[in-house]
Amino acid sequence: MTIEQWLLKASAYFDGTMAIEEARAFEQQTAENDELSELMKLWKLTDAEASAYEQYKPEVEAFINTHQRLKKEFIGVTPARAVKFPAWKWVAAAAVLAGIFLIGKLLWPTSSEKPPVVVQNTKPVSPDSTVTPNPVKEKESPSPSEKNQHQNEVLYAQSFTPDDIPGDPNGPLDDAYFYYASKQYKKAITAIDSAGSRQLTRGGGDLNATTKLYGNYYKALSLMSLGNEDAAIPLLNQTIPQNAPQSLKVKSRWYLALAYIKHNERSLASTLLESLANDSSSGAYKNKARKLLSDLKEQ
Amino acid sequence: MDHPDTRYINALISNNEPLLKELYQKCFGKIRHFVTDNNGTEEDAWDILQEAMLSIFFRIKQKPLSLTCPFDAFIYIVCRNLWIKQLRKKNILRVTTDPEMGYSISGEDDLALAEECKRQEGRRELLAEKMKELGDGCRELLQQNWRGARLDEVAANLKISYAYARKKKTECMTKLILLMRQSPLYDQLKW
Repeated sequence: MTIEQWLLKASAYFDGTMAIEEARAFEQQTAENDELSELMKLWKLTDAEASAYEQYKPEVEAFINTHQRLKKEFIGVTPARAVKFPAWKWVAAAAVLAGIFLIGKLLWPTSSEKPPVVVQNTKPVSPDSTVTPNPVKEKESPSPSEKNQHQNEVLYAQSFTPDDIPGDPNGPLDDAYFYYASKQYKKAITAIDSAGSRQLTRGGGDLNATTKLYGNYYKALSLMSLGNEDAAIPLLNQTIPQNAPQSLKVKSRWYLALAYIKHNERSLASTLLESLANDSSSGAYKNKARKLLSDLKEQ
Repeated sequence: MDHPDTRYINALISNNEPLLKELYQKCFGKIRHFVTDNNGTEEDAWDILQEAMLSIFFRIKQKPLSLTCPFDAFIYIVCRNLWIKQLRKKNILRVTTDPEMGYSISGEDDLALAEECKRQEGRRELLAEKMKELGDGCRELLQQNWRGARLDEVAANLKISYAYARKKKTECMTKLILLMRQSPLYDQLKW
């Protein structure tokens, strides 16, 4: 069996779609040939490791974000090292610098030593014409509001993960859910916006109220994933009315709180988070809200 | 009994920023020292630390880490190995500085484990590099499958038949495996 023939069979073998007898024969042939055994190992390991890399991608991205955030605290903070420059070298270096300075003085006299330049002035000098030198702009440390903004963005980045699509995505929003699940958020928004008209063309009448609420919710999350919290806030506010499904109300409050944090409106965010933390029907969001509230207070 | 540095290992897994910071305070100075003394910059040291942490992360996800040395010492050794690997790539063979920078690492197992992390990181790099050489269709199909979608689900997502998805996966894996085997790095990575 050549490598190419082996590879063609391997997929069926690994998928489990190969008949048992055929699979046994395949294993036997593989074991008898060092190169094929190596290929088998390579296939298995590549598949296993690549799966791990893909499946842990969100965790890896979160770690990389943390690592990059910590960078500024470690880079540029060089520990003092023992000076290994002998004293005579310092003296020599000072002498060289003094020499350069003296030569410079001789070749390019300073302005005070230059003859004054006579300028015929026809106008009296007005006090307004005084030219003040531009002060050297020092690097400003971030203002408290900039610091707050930065902290809010960090908290937001740590807490925001787009929600999953509903368990049964079939219905007028199915296209939108497909795009949303595959992180094509702009297409998801277009699909949500056109879901009503598509439904009409299919002869299905207007979208029902619940579908509209879900449409708003996933449109808001798509907007947030694209970094547009401003547009997401009013949509999320629309998904919290009394008649909305309870789970949708809870999740909408959570994401609205996050949008407010990013938007620098901490008190609005805190109010929502407190309501989630004290609501027994908040499920998993109860603890998430508590944690985020305490993080907000810590800062 | 748990290794005394289990909390740092957990911090890596759970992305616990304060504890990671504490860990970095213990080891980054030495890593920086080693890298900057060996043709690198502070930035290189920071990048190599990230690479080391990721290789350890994936290793832990595969099987538990049984260390006999402190975790910061282990990270230092992984960083050192990774940096030496980068220097070799640039044909810089001479490495200065005390190899263990004051850490006492006597366990053969720890050194072997650090080597394993280096190889794993190398395999990850090679895989990522070769994935780029595949077409978009192949990449999409393999990645969806690796993310946990069954092949019939991938077929539905990509709007292709299941039979075609299977055929395509074989083609893509074949191409990927052959590309990796052709790489001069392949033999060093002990697949």
